Amino acid sequence: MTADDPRPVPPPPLHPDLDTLADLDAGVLDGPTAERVSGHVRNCTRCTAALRAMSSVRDDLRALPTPPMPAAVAARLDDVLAGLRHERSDGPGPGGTTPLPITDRRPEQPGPAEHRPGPGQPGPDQRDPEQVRPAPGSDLDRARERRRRRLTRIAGSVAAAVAVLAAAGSVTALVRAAGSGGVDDTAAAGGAGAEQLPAPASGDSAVDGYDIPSYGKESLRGALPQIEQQSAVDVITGRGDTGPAGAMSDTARRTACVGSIRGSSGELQAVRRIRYEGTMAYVFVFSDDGRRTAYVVGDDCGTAPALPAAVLDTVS
Amino acid sequence: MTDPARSDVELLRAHAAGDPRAFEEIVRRHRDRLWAVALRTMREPEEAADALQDALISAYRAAGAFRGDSAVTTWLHRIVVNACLDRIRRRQVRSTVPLPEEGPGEPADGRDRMAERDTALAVEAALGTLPVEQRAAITLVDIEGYSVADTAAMLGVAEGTVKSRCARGRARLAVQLGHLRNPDTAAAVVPGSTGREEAR
Repeated sequence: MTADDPRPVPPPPLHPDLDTLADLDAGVLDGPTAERVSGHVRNCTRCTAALRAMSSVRDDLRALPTPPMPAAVAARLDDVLAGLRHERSDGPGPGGTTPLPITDRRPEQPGPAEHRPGPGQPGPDQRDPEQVRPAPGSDLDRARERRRRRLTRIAGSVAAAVAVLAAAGSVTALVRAAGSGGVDDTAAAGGAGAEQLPAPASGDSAVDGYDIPSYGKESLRGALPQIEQQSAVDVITGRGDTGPAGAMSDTARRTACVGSIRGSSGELQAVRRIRYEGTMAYVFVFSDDGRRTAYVVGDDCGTAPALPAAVLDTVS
Repeated sequence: MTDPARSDVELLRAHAAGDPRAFEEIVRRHRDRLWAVALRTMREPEEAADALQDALISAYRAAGAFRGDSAVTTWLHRIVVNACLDRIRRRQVRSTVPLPEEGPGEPADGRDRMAERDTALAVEAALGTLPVEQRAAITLVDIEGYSVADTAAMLGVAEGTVKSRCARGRARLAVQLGHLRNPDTAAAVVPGSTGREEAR
């Protein structure tokens, strides 16, 4: 550009990427970065237009109508709720009603995932017409029975599964340190990725097939990678009370507990039911900006209204 | 039968105390919004119905744990959206499933209504292409009108994460919907990241 060139000074040639512009719009950029990007945007019609377009999208989203629930879905949910009502009224208690089983969930109760199993799951978990439209009462009873049968089958198949893995020279071996105060289950890796195998129930340290490992502070720190792998949120959800996360496999219970853990931040990675220094507990592993923090909370976490979680310990 | 005399909180407490009809009344009041959140998060009606069923069973049983420090609707939405995310994580559902058969509203006569409907369909379709984390945040904040703080609590993430997910999602939608407004502008900025993680 020369001195007699009337054209304005062009903005710097390197435009911020779309995510950076979005973060500027969201106000989450750090100070120096926000100042630098804002300076560019002020002199750049292209980026200014992009920000305007984002704002227009917000208007488009706000204008979206609420789709009414289809009648078939409403009817199905009505059936489910009626089934729950019947289940509750069939139980013991004055007036034919039973208090909600919040802190004393029976293991045989069909949890949400058992009620609506996913595809690819074998046997009784596969969808059938009665599961698509549960009828009051009787279907829930049948679901319990299906679950009992499934658990029996799982327990019976563990030995066979171990044998198959061993015969194939597979990577996983389950080493049980009976009576140990440390990590009960260890995966002896001979290749990539250790798997968890459901262990047979043994005494009071197991819940329907899953051992409850015992930890102290140091052993828990060492076991966190294993817990993250074996009890990741996407693994434990839907396994019901009998899975490695116990009652925390229930979304509402887990969400209530997480909401009551003071000081926790980041995204929940894993949950495991454990015995911590002799006390029944749950360990919640959060990831915040790559930093892992584990909170050990009391066994009743998420059950007491308006009370913060009893955090027994934290491990980073 | 409706029960307009009792608030949501009163109904939930009545349910926890054994009232056999109270929970159904809560669901009846809010089911369209709950359905909308489930449908927009899951994208596929049958999956949305499954997730909503999971959530309502869970909420039915967890009502005694309701702490009363948020609205009942916030608590319910929190359970619904987490049930959806749980289901998506479990099944690794991709975000490219087709649009629901029953879209947002019936077609109406007149060019303006048709244009509105077309825009809404385009926005819904574009929304379906977003990563589920961005879609859930946008659904709760921009469509359902929840605050960033409430949404952060629902999703179990920091408020900055919600803001970033919403803004980045809107940016991608702006590109996808650019043809509706000014394609030159939308196309001028290349979507993508410089490798930085989203703000937390």
